[in-house]
Amino acid sequence: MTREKGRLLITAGGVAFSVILILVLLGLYFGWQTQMTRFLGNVDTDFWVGQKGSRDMSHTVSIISAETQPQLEKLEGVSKVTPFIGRQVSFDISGKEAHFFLIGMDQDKIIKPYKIVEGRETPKDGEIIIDQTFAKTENLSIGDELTLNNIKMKISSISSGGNLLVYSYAFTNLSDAKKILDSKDFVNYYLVKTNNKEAAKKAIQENFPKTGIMEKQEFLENNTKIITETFLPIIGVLTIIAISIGIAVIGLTIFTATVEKSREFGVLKAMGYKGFELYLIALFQSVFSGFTGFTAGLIITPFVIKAADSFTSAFIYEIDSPKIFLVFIAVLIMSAVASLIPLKRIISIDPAEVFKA
Amino acid sequence: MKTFLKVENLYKTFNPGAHTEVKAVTDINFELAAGEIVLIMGPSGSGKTTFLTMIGGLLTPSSGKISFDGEEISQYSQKKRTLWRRKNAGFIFQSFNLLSNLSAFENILIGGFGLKRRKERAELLLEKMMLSDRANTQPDNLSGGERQRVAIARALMNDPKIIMADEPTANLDKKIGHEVMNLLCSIGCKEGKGVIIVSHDERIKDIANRVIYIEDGKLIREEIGLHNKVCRMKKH
Repeated sequence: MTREKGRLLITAGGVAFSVILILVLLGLYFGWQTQMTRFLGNVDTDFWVGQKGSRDMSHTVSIISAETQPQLEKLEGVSKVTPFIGRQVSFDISGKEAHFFLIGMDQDKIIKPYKIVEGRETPKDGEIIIDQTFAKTENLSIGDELTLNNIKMKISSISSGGNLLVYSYAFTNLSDAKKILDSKDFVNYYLVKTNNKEAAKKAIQENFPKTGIMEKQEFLENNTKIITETFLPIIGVLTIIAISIGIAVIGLTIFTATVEKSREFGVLKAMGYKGFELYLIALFQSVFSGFTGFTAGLIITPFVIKAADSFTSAFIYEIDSPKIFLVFIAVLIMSAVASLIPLKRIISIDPAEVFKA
Repeated sequence: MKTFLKVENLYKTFNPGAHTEVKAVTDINFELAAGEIVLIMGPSGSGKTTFLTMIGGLLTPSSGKISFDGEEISQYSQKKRTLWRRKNAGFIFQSFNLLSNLSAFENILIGGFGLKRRKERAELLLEKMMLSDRANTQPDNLSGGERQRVAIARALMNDPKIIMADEPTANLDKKIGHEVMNLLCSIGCKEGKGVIIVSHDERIKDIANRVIYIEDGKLIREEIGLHNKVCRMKKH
């Protein structure tokens, strides 16, 4: 089969399609997972302290009194307390409803965008930083104005790494965020830096039993659960479908080739080739097709991603060499499984049949 | 000449007991010595090919014994018979049965099992068959005679003791058929291999040491040592 260009092309094409699908799905999954944690991972804190029962920023609302801050600062093991104010805001852009997750930046820049791609690092009063995906979608640029809760804000900067599919992050200074979100008397979370983690945790739990305390990593994981719990099973199913397509394409082509070449397999059997040796031929053909398809898929995937990226800004893709290697292993397994499809046929070929003219 | 293949009271019945029962081979006794060329003749459906495939270890007899070098190969397991074939038997088919995607050289090469110098041996056989300039040609681009010479080279690749040819000249014209006959004769005479040829072709009688006639599965007549012209000519 390796010398039958048409057949090889069809098989390699099918495998390439399957590989592209797997690479895109995995890339999207890991891309989204990284994206979800970019901003939160960038926040320099030991603990997120919020209302008891609040676990993440997407599913649950956390409200804590603004008066809690000085009490927290006095606790043993606590070195710094930073209020975190952030909530989704809906507003109007040229008659169309838009929304983002507005966050108030503190003076010490513990809370800040993942990366500023254009404009100032720190917004002044009346200024706002928006994410580049939001800017692209809404056709906004530096200098444009947005009206949020009847307060006019001027876009001062564009940031990256803040697009979370369902919304993107936007940043103002803390006082503007308080005004826009109308939260003078409360905050959503406190970011607590410590000089003694265990002591601080114990003190917070004892003194504020109605608060929930989460380590930075735990809070990060809670926020990525939306991806791992919602998208992972879907991606898993789609990957299984992609692998099945690969197995079916290789398997059916090899099986057809085996049926067509039954006589030649019979000749080899008559000559003294064992069933296992003949199976190795099918395995080699299968692996060769798989490898060719994998290479083709690997070459085509960047073009597919580029095309998809220009089509939708939500196409956040990230894949590294170890994951590509895993896909390669999956293709090898796919090829090995596919080679089993014609196995029964190979074993049942009667070598005496080759004497029939 | 030393006898190395002995067939005793060989029977083969297909679908025994059923209304479609066919007695393909009935009570055949046969011997083959090294360097001997035996032609098996008979009408279509007489059981010639069934007989040949049983000798070649491709078909299990219903009863009787096939012994090779004193060992009863008809009692061998499938696996053991496969190993016996790859070591001792070479097959030549009516329709050549070359692997269409492989070159002439590669077709010969696949006949060599576990040989240390497979390539050298295949090159030597190509040269012997006067096919060196066709080494990289695929079967579709070879003439009928060339294809059959490739098939003969493939059968000789593992230096088997016995060569079994089924209608080797049926698809060849007179001139090419004669070339193939010369080659088969040379294999028997010069290389000391036992050659069994199943054929309708009367011309093959010229190179055979013995001719046996099979009809309705039975060996009905045997002509011993009648024809050996080509061999004798070559020997002189």
